[in-house]
Amino acid sequence: MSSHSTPVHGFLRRGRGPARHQARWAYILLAPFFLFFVVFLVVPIGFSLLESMFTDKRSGLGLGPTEHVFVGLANYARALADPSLGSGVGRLSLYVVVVVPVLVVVALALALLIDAGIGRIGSVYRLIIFLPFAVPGVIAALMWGYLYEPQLSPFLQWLAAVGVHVNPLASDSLIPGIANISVWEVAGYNMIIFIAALQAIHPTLYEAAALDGAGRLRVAFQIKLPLIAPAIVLAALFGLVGSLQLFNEPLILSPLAPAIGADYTPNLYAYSTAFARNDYTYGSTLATLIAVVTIVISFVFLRVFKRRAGLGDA
Amino acid sequence: MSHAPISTGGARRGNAVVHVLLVVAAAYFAVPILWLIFAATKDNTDLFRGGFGPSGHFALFDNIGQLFSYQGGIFWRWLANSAFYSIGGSVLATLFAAAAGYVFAKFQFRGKTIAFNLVLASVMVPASALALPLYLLFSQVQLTNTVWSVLLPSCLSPFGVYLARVYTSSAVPDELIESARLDGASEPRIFFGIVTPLIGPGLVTVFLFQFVAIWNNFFLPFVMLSSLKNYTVTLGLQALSVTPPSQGVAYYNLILTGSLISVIPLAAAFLILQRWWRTGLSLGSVTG
Repeated sequence: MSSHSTPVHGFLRRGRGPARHQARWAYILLAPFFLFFVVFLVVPIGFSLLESMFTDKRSGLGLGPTEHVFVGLANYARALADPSLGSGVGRLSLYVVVVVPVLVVVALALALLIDAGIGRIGSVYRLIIFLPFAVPGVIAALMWGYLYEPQLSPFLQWLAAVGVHVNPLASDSLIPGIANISVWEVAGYNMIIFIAALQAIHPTLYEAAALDGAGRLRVAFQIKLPLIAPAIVLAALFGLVGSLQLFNEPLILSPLAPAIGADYTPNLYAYSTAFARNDYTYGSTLATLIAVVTIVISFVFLRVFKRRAGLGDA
Repeated sequence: MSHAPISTGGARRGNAVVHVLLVVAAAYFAVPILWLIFAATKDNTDLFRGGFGPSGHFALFDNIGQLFSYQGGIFWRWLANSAFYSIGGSVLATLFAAAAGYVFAKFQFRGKTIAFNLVLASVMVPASALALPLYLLFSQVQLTNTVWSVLLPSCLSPFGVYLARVYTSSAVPDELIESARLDGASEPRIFFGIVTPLIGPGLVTVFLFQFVAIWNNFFLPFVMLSSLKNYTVTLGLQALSVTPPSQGVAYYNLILTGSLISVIPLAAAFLILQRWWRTGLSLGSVTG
């Protein structure tokens, strides 16, 4: 942290010529970002919260004009008792509990393998494993949708040839199928992050370990992992936040998988409520709930792993 | 850049295990893309016969022709839109983030800590929570289904501000700025002439990060856009996947060919810019 950073004395009235010039430019440089920040982040959040406390009531037999009525927290009460939301949350929980650990463990394992001193071919593996990241998420879902379709998929046909008939698009095996798509898309990216963290480890630590006669596995678990713990926590956090928003994959797969309804995940439910049923106020309620729960879970997660994340005892 | 020391002698067997595991992993990640490449060369009949490798009939150029003439060449439009949203949004987002990051790194002002914490906290806000209220707000000013409805929200990168601040703190010495000021350099001159060149690789990272985020962003365009002509490539292909065909079988061959094409921009961006974003990743020990 610099101790020489330029003071911007709050208001432009104070200060001599050069200081005012600096102060003015500090605000000018900050302004664009904060303008967009307020307009496209703060205002929508506030608006969503506001809308969630209203409802559109139709007078008469549904033939009259709609009234925008303030109902306080009634929408939230409705949401908490809503079975569609409940089942969506159940599925999402299952998904998150599967995807996040698998993602982190796979990416970690790959990073450790590539960092295990195998020479130049490591960068070839790294490039190949990173390749799926160039595939836009939605496209990956489309692709895997076809790979899950028994008629089109060579993999399923090979399995069928040896008598194993699998249809990933059937109801009870959908979550692992979706989880597989997510891991395939993102593991390479997390792996790159972990490799960068591993390469920042000072080589003298390895020399010391070698002197102690530590084998590669011990080095991996007792030196490397603890040292890159902040990167692991961050990757897990982003994985958690991302997977709680599950929307794209179920949406893309829904034409092929009859089990996916409009309320398959909370986010899908919020979207279909707002746009398919034109219930914007309840949709706002659901969106707000999802955001709040995500933020709370993020904070709890960071709290629990504060020390590992390198955030100290502050 | 440090690797664990290359193993010798008795670790040969361990090495073999490592290689086997990595080959299996590489296969898992690469084979679906290989399938996509082969699939794009097949027409619908061959697709339905399944099989992995190329069929006898090479239909890639037919598929491309069909794809680009679908609905009067709208695929070109989709590609152009995606490029516009991604490049335009990333350039602006990087510029704004660099400026804000610089101020956070090198200036002191009242409320700075709170402001920065707010920026950091906003990284936790999921983009999908914003799409719905953004739609409602945009519809109030009748800007839904326009290019602005996708471009403008994409110019925001709070994570970019965090990165820019870290990069500026570590790569730009205070003394450099002070002496530039003493020499009479104006503030914009300092920012554009001194600071930005110094954190260049870091800014490329911010740009790439945002580029990928916008290119991949499906929910925002999905919510905002209803006319095919404004669609992104990914949204267009998704729309294609739920469009019943006017004749014949579904558009599988077009979707797969389009999917293959949509991979190229991101792959190209990474390859072209890889010299810079690799350095950017290690600048300022972002991961540590």
